[in-house]
Order: sequence, then structure tokens, then C-alpha cells
Amino acid sequence: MVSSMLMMLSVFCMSLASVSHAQIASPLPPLSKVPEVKATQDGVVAQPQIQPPPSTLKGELVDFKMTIGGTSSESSTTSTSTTTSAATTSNVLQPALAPTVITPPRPKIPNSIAVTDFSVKNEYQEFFYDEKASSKASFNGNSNFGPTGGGVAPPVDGVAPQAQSPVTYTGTTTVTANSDSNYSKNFGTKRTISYGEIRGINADIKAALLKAGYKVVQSAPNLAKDKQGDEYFDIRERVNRGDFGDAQYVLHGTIVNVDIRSTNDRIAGTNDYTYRLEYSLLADFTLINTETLEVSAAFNAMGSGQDMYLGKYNANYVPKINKITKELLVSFGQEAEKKLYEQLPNLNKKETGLSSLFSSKQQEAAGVGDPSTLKVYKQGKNNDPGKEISTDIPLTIYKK
Amino acid sequence: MFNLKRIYLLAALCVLALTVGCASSPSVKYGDSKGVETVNTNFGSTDLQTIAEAMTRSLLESHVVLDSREPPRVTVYDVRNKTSEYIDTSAITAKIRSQLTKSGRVRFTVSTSEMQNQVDELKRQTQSGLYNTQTQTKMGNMNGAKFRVEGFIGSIVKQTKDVKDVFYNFHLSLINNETGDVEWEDEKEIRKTATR
Repeated sequence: MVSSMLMMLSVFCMSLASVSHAQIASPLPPLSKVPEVKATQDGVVAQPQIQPPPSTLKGELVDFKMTIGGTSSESSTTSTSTTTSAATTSNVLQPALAPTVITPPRPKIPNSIAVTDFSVKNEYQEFFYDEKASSKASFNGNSNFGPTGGGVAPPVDGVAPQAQSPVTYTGTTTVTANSDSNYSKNFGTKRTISYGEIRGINADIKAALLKAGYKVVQSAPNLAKDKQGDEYFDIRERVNRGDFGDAQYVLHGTIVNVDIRSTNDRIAGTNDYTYRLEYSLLADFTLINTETLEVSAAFNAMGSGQDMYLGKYNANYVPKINKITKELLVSFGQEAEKKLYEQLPNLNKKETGLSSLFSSKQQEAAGVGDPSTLKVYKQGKNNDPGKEISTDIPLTIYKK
Repeated sequence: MFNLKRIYLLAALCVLALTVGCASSPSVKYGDSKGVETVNTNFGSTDLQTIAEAMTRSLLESHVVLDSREPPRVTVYDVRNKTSEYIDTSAITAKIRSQLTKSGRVRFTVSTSEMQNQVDELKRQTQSGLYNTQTQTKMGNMNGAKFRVEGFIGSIVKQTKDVKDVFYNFHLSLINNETGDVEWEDEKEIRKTATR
């Protein structure tokens, strides 16, 4: 009785499981398999790519290696190639089932500029020298020496004992000596390259942009990866990655050179010396439109700051680094601001009211004022819009 | 007794004579500072004044001074003494500088020989920590001179038993510090002859 009830229960569970499986295997693919369709720059919607369930994959096996006890990298390579080939054939399988999900590009914030921190590449060489010498010596001696033979027979019937065999002395001496010496010398130049960003230099430039009426967008930091190359400076990759949010422009700065000079010179006609520490910075700026990647402005700016001390020969001079840095930033910001104002694109202001009627820009955009665009229409009957007639009379248009 | 009286009288006369002799001073009188001085053929006050006036007049008529909107900044270098006698050439340049400054058409900056005082004063105000930061002078704000004045004085001396002839030649130049161009140059010649 109990066993029959258990059987019924198991059959019920199996039927329940089959129902749930049937619901999952519905004609619509699961959400994870729905490809994301993105609109391209031209407005053409990209063709969707469907990934069918793994059970229906019909991939062509490109390469397969199987090694007992081999590395896992080979098998992973094989599986990747299989999946790729399956994806190329999937369009034929169920094209009608693909829903089209269009993600329109987010609109850019008008008149907004993201200012990047300065990307720098540090490269330095270091001389190394390593010299090692080791020696090991061992000496083992083993000696074994002793008599053998010479046994004496016991006296028998009062007969004196006689030697049965002569006594011989035998011995072995083993001497083992080992010597091992190693010497190695390594020297050369070790080259180290690192990528990073310098922050805190662009404050004046951001302030200048805000004063000019632009919105300043905070950009994401540019983090260097392992084995980073010069693609670290690729601003287009950062734009595509969305490092600059919805900014319309990005002002990208790269440090060209940093110069540090420490001098002490005698002042002519005196017994004193000037001790001077000077920092100077040269940077290159590019203003890029994040939608079209068009370079809207480009300039370079230089700044310098110095600290000076008057003293006798061998005076103890401790430079004021903060003073130098401040002077450097101020002069750098002033020059960058000046050059930026010269090239900043005009703000896209929406004109409303009467001012828009007399706006010269709108007139130019509509072609007003250009005689070549003027067309003369003849009034038709019954509200006929009329036909364009050609005229050879030169036309002159006067602006107010 | 008579001899003793004569000795006393003689001693008293000597003391009187000494007293009177020491108390008498040489006659001193002020003369014309611009008067011609012809004591000997050595470089004298008349030579100094003649050279300074000639050079100042010529420099003020130069195109550097006449054509500039603002008074040009000039610094003075020492005038080299190529004569065989001792001449304080700084007195010549100082006289030229004072006359040019008075004219108001030339502005002078501190010369090399005056730099020690300038540096000492800057050090005192900026590095001693004793001065108010609002009122203390700032380092690095000295004005640079666009021009410099430099020159030399040479002489040719010929002498016989009865005649000594000295010929002085004073040469002065105004040089553009930036371009190195000699913008103005003039010279003054003086001949002095002494006969016995």
C-alpha cells in the first residue's frame, strides 16, 4: 500500500516537472538570449543575432585537441571556436522569433564639456648589477684496516696447538672529495613604463569654462590596466566607453613635458648667489566633439613657477614647493584660459520671442538674404499654389 | 747776571715767535666751480665737466631718446681708464647720469657697482622675516634696462724738456641689451699743453 502511494507520488512529481519544462521551452527565447540591438551612427538598425539554446547548436568544429592531462587552455580555445561558429549560423534558425529592442543613444547635454585629467606616461631606466659566487667543498675519508685469518686449533691430546692459517692484515681506505663552485654575473638596464593621471591641474580651466557658460561634466578616471600600452591615450576608446557621461565635448589634456631646474648663480657685482628652483609644464589640449569625434579646438599651454633665495656661497636653501606649484598652476591656467577662449565653439542658445525673428543666424540658415535662393511664384487659380516661373531680372535684397 | 737776563729774553722771544707762527692760517677762498682750471696737464675738473656736458647733450639728441614714447631704461657700466694716470671714471659717469636723470628723458636702473646694496636690501626685507608681508618689497620685480652705457678714456702724452702735451679721448656708447646694436656713440677730445 505504501509502495503504491509512493509510486503515485513520484508519477505526479514527474508530470509536474514536465509541465514546468514545457513552460520554459516556450517559443519565445529566454531574456538572456535576446540580443541587444543598437542603432548605428547612420540610423540603420543592426541585424539581430540570436543565440539558440545550446541543444540546437550546430557548430562546425574548427579545431579540437584533446590531451590527457593536458592544460585547460586548449579545451577552452576549442569551446570558444565552437560557440562562434554556432552564432554565425543561428540567423537561419529562428529569425521570426527575435524581438527588436532598440536602445536609442542618450542625448548629449548641450553646451557641456568634460575635462579630463592629465594622462601621463612615466618611463625610466634603472641600471642593475647582480654578482653571485658560491663554492662548496666536501671531503670524506673512510679507512677499514684489521687482521684476518690466523685461527688457532684447540689442543688435542696434549699436542701443542698449531696455527692453522697465517694472519693477514687487510684494509681499505676510501677518500672522496667533492668541490662545487658557481659564479654568475648579471647586469643591464631595466626599463619601467607606467601610465597614470595627474589631478588638480585643471581647476582654473574648469572655472573658465563655467564662466563662459558651459556645463562641466566630471569624467571617469582613466585607470591603467596590466600590461598597458600607449592605447591608454586613445581618447576615442574612452568616448566609446562612456567615460565622459553625456558631455557634448571633451577637453583632453596631455602633458608634453615637465621641466625642473635648480640653479645657483652668482650675482654680478656682489658676493651673493641666487638659488632658484623652477618648475615648468607644457601641455597639449584637444577639444573633441563626443558625437562626431571632430576636433573643435586644439592648443598648447605652458606655465612655470619658481622660488628664489639670495644667499652666500653654500647657503642652506630649502625651496618652498607649495609656492612654486601655486605659481605654476596660476600661470598655466591663465595661458590655457586665454587660448581656450580664442577657440571655444559658440554656445548653442535657443532664441525665443522677437529676438529670433531678427536673428541673423536664422536668416542665414533659412537662406534669407541670398539672391540665388529666391524663387518667384505666379498666383494660380482656386487656391492653386502656383507654379514657379523663371526670371532673368537681377534681384537685389536689402536687409534691415 | 747780565748774560742770564739776555738768555731769558731770547727764550721769551722764541716762544712768542712760535705762538704767532702757529696761529696764522692760509688764506682760503671759494672759487667758481665751473671756472677753468689750469694747474697742470693732469685730468681735472674742467675736463670732467666738459666731457659730461658734451656727452649728455649728444645723448639727449639721439634717436633713442627722441623717438621713444617713454624714457628708455639705461644702466651704466664702468668707463675703462686706458690712460697712464689715475682717473676716477665713476665720477664722469655719475655726472653724466645725474644730468640725464635731471632731464627726465632717460631713466636709470641700478648699475653693477650698486648691486650689492640692492641685494642686501632685498635680502633684508624678504628673507629676514622682520617685515610685514604687505609692505615688504617683492623679489623678482626689478626692472631690466633696455640699454647700457659703456665707454673708455684714453690719452696720448708727449713731453720734451720744456713742453708737455696731453691728448685725452673720451668715448661713450649706448648699446641695446636685447639686440646688441650700438644705438648711439660719441666721443670728446681734449688737448692740454704745458710749457715752462
